[in-house]
Amino acid sequence: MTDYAHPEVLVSTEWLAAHLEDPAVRVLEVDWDPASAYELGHVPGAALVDWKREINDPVRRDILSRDQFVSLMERLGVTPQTTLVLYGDMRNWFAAFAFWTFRIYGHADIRLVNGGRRKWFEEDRPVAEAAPALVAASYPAPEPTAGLRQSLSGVRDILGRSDHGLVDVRSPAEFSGAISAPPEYQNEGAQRSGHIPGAVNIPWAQAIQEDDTFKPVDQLRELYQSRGMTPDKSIVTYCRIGERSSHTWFVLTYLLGYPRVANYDGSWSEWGNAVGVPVEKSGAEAAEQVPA
Amino acid sequence: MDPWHLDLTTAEEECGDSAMGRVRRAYATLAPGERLEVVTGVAEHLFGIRAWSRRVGGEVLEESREGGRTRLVLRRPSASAS
Repeated sequence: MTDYAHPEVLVSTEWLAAHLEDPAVRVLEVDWDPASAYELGHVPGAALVDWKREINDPVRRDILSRDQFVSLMERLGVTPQTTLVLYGDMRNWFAAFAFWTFRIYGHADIRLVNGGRRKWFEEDRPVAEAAPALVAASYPAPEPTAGLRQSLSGVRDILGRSDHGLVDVRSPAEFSGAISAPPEYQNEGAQRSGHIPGAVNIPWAQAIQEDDTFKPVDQLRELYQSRGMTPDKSIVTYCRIGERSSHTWFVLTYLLGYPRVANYDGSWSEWGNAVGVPVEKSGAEAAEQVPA
Repeated sequence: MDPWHLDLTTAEEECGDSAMGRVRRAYATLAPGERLEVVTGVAEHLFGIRAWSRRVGGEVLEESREGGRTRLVLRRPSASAS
């Protein structure tokens, strides 16, 4: 992991196993579906963060507010000095989203478990069912970090600019416009399918290996630079709701060290429902421009 | 009657339902006594299926491994939750 631009943000499962009782470390499992993951078994001592309820505002569509972030950190017994170690279900997508959110709110030491939950189980490491007892802490919020988030209007402003790059990390079927969202995600659908004009399709999973660990840095560099996503550009990543694109945001920012990468968390579920924004389709879908 | 079949080795990249979510949805459609065959190559899935099955009173009738993939056969008992 030492070849990455910022290897300090990544820990191995071996490292995690050796720090399960480290009082300076708080291990968090960030799940989209806790009933199918954390509640069945998790890394011993890991606390649950429910992505839907705790990383998002419960009413409006937005990430949690700064006050909600502070309350969450306090509930989890986290201080600004705590090392947060994140992993989660769905191949670390939501852990990466939490990483991005916590970074926006300025937490200094956050790390992602390379390979995540899947690798932990693959290695037959210990698993617990009981949640840890947490002692609430005081969390004076650090200063937020600017520039990590992009909005719909911000994406509109960069369309066609050669000093910017747009990475659509969804599957090829979503990118082409063949599908908008799987039927089981009724609240992630869109009125239009396709992609943002000028975006290149580099599915998130191309950054990982079979065991879910990240590819070596030279392969990652080749993956993105061969598609024109070079570090001299300001890069925006997006997917459908911003979680897969957080994974790619993490890769570009911390593994490759790109200086200006923002995640557009509104993603296709916002763009594909917005009135008047341009949409591109590709492949066979481009020949049939009929509203879905 | 042959068991219903669920292959967990596909579709994750499209951000579809979680593997366990797919198992739960498939299991919920079983009539009492019907079986569900699940194929996966992921240890996390296996752990989850076994743990979840215990919770809902399901039975793991068979478990076999071949070529890096594991096949489990679950049966929904006559009176179980889903």
